[in-house]
Amino acid sequence: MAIKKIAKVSHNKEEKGLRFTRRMAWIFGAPSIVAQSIFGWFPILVAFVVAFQKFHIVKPCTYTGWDNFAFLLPSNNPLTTLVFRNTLYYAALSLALTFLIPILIAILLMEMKKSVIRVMMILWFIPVASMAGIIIWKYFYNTQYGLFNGILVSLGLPTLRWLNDSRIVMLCLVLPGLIMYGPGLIYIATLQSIPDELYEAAELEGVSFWQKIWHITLPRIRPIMAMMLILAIIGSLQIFEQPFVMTTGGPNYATYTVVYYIFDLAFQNLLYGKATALAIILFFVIMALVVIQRKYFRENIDV
Amino acid sequence: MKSKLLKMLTISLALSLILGLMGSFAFAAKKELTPYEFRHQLTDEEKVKYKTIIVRWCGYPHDNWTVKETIEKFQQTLHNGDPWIGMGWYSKTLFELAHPKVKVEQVAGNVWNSQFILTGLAGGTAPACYPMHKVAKTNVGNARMALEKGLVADITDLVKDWKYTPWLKEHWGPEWERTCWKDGRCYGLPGTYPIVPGWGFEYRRDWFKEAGLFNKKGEPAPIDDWTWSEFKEIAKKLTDPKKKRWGFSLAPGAIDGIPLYPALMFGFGVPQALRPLVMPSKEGKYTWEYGATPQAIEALKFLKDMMWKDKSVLSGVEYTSLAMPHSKEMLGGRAGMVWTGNQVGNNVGNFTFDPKKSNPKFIGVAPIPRGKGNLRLRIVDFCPFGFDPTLDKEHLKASFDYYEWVAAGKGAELRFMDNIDEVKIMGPQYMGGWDIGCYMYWAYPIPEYYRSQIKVSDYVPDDYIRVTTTIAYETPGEPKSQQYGLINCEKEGLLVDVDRGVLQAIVCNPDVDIQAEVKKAADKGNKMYLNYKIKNDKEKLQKFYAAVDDFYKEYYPDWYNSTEYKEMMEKYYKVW
Amino acid sequence: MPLIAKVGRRRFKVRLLIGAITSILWIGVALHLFPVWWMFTTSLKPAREIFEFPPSLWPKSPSFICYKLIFELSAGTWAGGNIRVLDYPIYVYIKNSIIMAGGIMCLQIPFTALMGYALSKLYSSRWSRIVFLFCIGTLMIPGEVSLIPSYLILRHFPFPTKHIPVIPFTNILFPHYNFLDSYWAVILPGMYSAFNVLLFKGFFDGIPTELVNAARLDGASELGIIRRIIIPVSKPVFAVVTYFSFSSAWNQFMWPLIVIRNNKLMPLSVILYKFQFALTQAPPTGKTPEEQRLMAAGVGYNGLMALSFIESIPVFIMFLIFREQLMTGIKLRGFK
Repeated sequence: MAIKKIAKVSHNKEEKGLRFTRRMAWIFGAPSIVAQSIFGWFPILVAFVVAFQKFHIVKPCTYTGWDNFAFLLPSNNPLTTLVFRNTLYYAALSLALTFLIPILIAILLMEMKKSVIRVMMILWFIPVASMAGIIIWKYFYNTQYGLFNGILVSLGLPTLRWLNDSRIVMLCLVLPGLIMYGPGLIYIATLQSIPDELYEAAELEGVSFWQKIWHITLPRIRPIMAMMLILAIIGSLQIFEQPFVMTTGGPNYATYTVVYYIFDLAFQNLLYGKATALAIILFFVIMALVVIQRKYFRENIDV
Repeated sequence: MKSKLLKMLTISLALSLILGLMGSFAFAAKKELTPYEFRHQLTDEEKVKYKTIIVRWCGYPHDNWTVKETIEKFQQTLHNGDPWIGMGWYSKTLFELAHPKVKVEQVAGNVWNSQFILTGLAGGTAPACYPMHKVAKTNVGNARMALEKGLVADITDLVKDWKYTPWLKEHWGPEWERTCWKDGRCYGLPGTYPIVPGWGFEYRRDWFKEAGLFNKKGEPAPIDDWTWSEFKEIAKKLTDPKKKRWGFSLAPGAIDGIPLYPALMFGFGVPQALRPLVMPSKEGKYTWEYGATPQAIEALKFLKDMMWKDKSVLSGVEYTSLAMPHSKEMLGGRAGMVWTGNQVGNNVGNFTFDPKKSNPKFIGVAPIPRGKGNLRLRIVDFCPFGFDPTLDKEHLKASFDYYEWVAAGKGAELRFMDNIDEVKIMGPQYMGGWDIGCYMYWAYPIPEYYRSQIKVSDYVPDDYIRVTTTIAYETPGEPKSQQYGLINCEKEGLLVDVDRGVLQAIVCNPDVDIQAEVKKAADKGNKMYLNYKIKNDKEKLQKFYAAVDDFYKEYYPDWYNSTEYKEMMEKYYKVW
Repeated sequence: MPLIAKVGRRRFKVRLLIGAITSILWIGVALHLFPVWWMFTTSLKPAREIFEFPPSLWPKSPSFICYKLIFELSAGTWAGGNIRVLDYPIYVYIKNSIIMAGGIMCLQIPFTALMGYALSKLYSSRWSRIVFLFCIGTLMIPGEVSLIPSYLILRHFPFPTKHIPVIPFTNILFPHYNFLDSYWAVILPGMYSAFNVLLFKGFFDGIPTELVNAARLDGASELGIIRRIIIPVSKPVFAVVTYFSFSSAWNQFMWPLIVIRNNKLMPLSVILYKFQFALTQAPPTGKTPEEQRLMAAGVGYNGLMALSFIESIPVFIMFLIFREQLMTGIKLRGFK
């Protein structure tokens, strides 16, 4: 009897403890949930309402149905195709040039001695504020006093027009990312977790350098690569600062990107409804790309 | 025991949360409301009880009042020897004494910044009075866009019996009507700033001397009647790649209202009655279409040759934004000539006679060059001011009264009195640009006493006065399409983006194909901005182009009688 | 050295390979560091040298005059005359940036850490999944969709409408507040970061539950558990989160540009953009007094580089503080 009672008491205590932790969970999570609902989900709901309104400056907004989206149809608005083409071009260039480099460098970096790795990583991660970086590169590209034209002149080659040349201006925007990239931290972390014995076993079997990379390293990094690819796609489709600061839309709309057009519509022309409509279109484009990418890389990291 | 403690903790937390919320409600309720909210809050009885009408003002005595006005700041400015601000305060206080119900509140901000006005309008915190073209984000010539968009208040009742209306009609009649009147209703007034006609070129006298370019009087300056080809030659002569000198520095758009582009086009024969590359539509689906006449292409080719063949133009994508970088190039010693983009009168003030500042001894001013058949464009900076349309009747009347006070009443007299004292006691280098301009072209009648106290020619060089008054006033102004109701002013101002694209393409690409660029721009312009049809446009177009014909016949008969003109009009403009 | 076997290292081909890899890596480091080096040396150059062409690698007469001039010109206290380059002295803008970045960091890290802990340890598994999706869902949605609604919400917080509704049955407007043009406009939306929750939850998942349960049975309160068990162990994740949240808050550009109009409250990144042209005037090669003054002032591109350098310093300091933790690498899963 006594044992039963003690058992009952302890069971109650455990239940009470469980309920207690559940309550604490809500208390701990409350500020984040409130913040996320006000600034995370509420704006998105509002966006879907705002995209169907027309904003008058001195009167409250009026409902206009699909007008804002009709304004953005490619047949009505050549700027829409232009901005999406520019943005996809930038995304393609940026992914092609700057996605693989952190992976390669991380793989190569693991070959060095531990002390060398330490030194290199510190040097590689010295940060420059992003705005400062953009201004430095704008200075490099200056046709009169910039460093690049200086190098070309001292080598005796003709100068290039860099940011003024609509053919290479997009490449000029991607170049800072190319040069300032170091090894990805996440790749280094993953590479460190691969046990050395695998490589030694492969070496004993006489596997060559490239085959080792292909068969041992890459499959391990594949899930992380998939996740980083999604993040890179989402990030590169949303650039704003480089075109805004370096070229203000580029020579004759050559670097006019989607987010820049949203910014112009909303804050230069005060057409909030149309800007939100364009943002929603961008959202669906990104969703489509992410879905395609996840289908292709079928294993995905448990996010 | 522990659960009890926890219970007490949660209860006290909840209580404090509720108390905090209640406190914040109280706090929020006690917060000072904007005039907009204030007005909406009061019932009619309360409105009688609260006699204070608040006029939010952002402007005279200073445009850029960036700090909260307090008595300490006022004392500080007096202590620094800045009587200008003191006089502004005195004027405002006199007004408040004369109008016991009204309080004038100076708001911090820049009334010449579109974002400031537009966000203020949207949020109910706008100043009472602002420049119309700035609120509509367009250039000075199209201030009417604000009217069309409903961004300025209807002041016909206040203007009907106003004592200055006959004077304004007599002196500024056509311009006032063109920009501020619609269907017999008035929406704006001439600005409290000097109306200075005349845009032009600034040039460096020392470079002209070095290059050996002198005018008929022997001064290192271009002749008053110079042509565009002479301009091109002069730019080439001033260019020296070894010394890193260019003849001319150009900003290819992004500064609103840069009329170099239309001035150049007009010189080559494109009628400036509307935007340079816009002409009546042949298909008839819409009223206008975007396209280039051969004369326009010729003008663009002129620019392209200057840029890439002569290499005498300093320009690029770095010059498309922010404030006036191209004029700094002239000051800094890289460009010999610059399109001022500002009223010439403003620069008169900038280059005052403080020997430590840039002075007129080394920067000169030249008028717009003449084109074919002596064509020269007239650009008048009629800068109208409009009032906040959300104001109710009382506030509008109070704002209108204060505007009158500042523009033509006691406030203006005080301002001039202050100027005279400043000049006489402290010397002319303390006068700002607008003040000298006031003595030449103030928009309202000022007692002769004040005008006669300062002799402008004592302080301003001869060519400045000549360019702004004589030459600019002598140039006749052509009829504009707004007067005939032919333009949707709301969309017309946005075409500047498309024009900018064309200019940038020319300036950034040596192999530019002008026809192709204009076609690409036409694609954008036609679909996005010119997709409207005006009622009865055929009759209106006929009337309008008849007026344009008369204008050319009277003032530019050589051009009118040439076959080129006749062909151009027949093929491109008289297409009904 | 996993890829290259330890055996046979003396063979020439392998040594060549190692040499090639080393040189590629060092070239990469040099290229990466070169802009930083350039920024620093340009900020040391006096005005005359900036406009030399082709530009030189190391200034012929380096001096710190540019920094001094930036501080003086912006405060309007330059002895040479009444030029005022920026609206307010530089330390006002630095202070703004620090307040914004610090405010965001101080709010974001406790909130998201508590949330991560709650998600991994306190919620039942069913609720945990639901709340987790609630928290992470916005990661997939681009920030631009919520750009304008956030702006509208901040205008009459919390109503995105132009007119504020009235409390029913009374005449009083709902309490609302206009956060625009203040520090809160930047700090409030940054109060929450979905990525941080992801990192924290991932890390805390690696802490075995038995440890926590044992502590609970011993009678520790939840806060005590956090203080004594979780925090000492999670230094890596805290370091990473602190560094990245500070760095992204410090580098913000678009959002302050939109919500803040008054120059007094602008952070340094926006100021750097706005006053590019105030600080890069054309070369003073003329003979007028104005030009001579500018030449003496010596401010040009070097001023811009000096400001960039000043802007990069705090991020660099944070990097130095946290470099150990960052270098050891943060694993998303796995905790030994």
